[in-house]
Amino acid sequence: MTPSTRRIDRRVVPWFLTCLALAWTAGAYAQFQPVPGREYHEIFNATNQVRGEAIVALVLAPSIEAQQADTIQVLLPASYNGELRVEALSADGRFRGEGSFAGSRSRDRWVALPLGRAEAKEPHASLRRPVNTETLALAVRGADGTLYVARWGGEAPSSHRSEMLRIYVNSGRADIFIVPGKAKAVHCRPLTIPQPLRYDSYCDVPLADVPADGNLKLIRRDQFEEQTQTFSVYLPHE
Amino acid sequence: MRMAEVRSKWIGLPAKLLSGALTAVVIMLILIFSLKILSRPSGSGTLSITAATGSLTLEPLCGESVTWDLPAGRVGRRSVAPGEPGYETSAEAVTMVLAPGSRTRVISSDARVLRVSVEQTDDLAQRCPAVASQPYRLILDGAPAAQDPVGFNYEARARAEAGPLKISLPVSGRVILGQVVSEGADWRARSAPILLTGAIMRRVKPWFSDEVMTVGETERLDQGSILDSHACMEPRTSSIAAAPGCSAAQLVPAVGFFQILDAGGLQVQLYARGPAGVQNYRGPQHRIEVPLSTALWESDTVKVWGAFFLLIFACLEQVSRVCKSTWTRILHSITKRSPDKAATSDAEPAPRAIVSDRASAAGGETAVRSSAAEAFHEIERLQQTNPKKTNI
Repeated sequence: MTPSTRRIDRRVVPWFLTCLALAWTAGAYAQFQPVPGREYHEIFNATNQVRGEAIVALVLAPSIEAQQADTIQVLLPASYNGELRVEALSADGRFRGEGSFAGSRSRDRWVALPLGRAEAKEPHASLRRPVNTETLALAVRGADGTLYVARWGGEAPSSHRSEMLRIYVNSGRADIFIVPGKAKAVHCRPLTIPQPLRYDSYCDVPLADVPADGNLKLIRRDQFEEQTQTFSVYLPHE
Repeated sequence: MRMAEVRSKWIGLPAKLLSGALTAVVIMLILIFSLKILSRPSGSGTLSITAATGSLTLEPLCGESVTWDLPAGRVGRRSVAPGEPGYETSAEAVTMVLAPGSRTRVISSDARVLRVSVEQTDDLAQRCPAVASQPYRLILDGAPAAQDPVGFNYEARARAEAGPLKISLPVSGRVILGQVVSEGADWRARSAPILLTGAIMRRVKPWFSDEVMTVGETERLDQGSILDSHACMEPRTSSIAAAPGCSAAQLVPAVGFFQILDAGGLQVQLYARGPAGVQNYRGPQHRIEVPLSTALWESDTVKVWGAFFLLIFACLEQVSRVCKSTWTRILHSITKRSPDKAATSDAEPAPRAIVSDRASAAGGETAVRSSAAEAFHEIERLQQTNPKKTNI
């Protein structure tokens, strides 16, 4: 090896290392970044917009520990590219965390979204996120309003087919049942709080029971009257 | 001698400061303790709650049970999924026995319709020392209905020609009036059974009295509010207004009754010990109670004795001055009557009362002063050194 070749090698090494680090960073962290001016923040006792949704959130296997984390994950379609709107919401409507992220999905189905250290606004700066798997939900919606399955925490799910999908429902204070495909109807549990504003029930459906097309039937029984709605859960089988 | 005086002066100053600080701390502690005790709910206080509402929720407390006799209606087993047989049945007479661990919601937005939903609640069941395995029972036409793990739905609907339903039912336990107006979710529209009007009056039995009196202003309940007769039982899961937990076993149930209004809705009369919680529409919960201080301030006996002691304290200085001057005059008159005798006689002991503590503590010099005249002159000398404190 001539001395000139050795000199070229030395120059290439730092460039190579920098490119490697950048590639690793891009792969390890989310491909989605907070939208400037609409970063995630948390608000207590805020005025909420009046919504009109029966299915409020879809969360995979929520736990108290994971709800305290500053990262969430969302299950996205392969070609997804654009904005995502994240909303953490309490059932009584007194807590709301919201922010927007933009980017595109890479090869991983689960995309991590860094919420960052929750920035609580005055006058409740000392209050923390009211973690509770029943009364705190997490909704991640696409630009067209499609609701995606989300997950609290940064840990990658191992075998998510064995886990429970928790579906948060605004039933209008009635009995709610979910029929996943041809499986037996699941009776949803009502919340026990006095002012359930955003949602009032949740249903735990084994992920294995969700049909391939993701279509579920929602039956509301108010005393002796029944109504039905259908909705679809995006679950990629890649 | 001089050194000793200086030393005692320097030792005395911190001692005085310390004792002053200690006294202030003790007084502060007593004040804080008294305020804490006086702000606690009064045992004799009652909240009289009158309301017209579309919905009422009842949770019997530990050791309590409520039985309702209901008119003919339909009964549904809530665990039976839609499409499965066996959900609905009808009965001419329905009796509901509600025990701790059950939550019953009564709705009436139409004078001819009464809806009742019964379900199990784990929250209260955990607070009670002993709960029945089945917190609710239904008796249909005299025969017990099969138990349902989720609960029952009941609906009574009067015929148009029969007019409004005439039912009065008792309540005992934790009572919640009204509910939140739910957001839309593409479901069939139905009017939300909210609280329409209401008022809360505070009543108290003052200390040392058997009379019950109304205190404070009547609290008006806004339309759409939610009233909870036991605010301290709000579950901790609630995000912000998490109230300190309280034991359901020690709580006094709110008692009362409700009946169906001719115009639709429920007319409720309740008596609760409190603290009751009121949430205006989408607002935070605030508590309403009758504190111990109200029972104290409203007591005539306490007022009279307070005024008496205040008067005594206010006049204390004047009274002490009058006593002193009277006593001095008495002494003066004694010494004027027989000054020589009093001055020379060694046989007669001096009256005990005029030998001051200060004089007796002074040692050998004061021990010699045994006569009343000497003692009197000593008092006069002392008064001259501090002329502001005497009238002479």
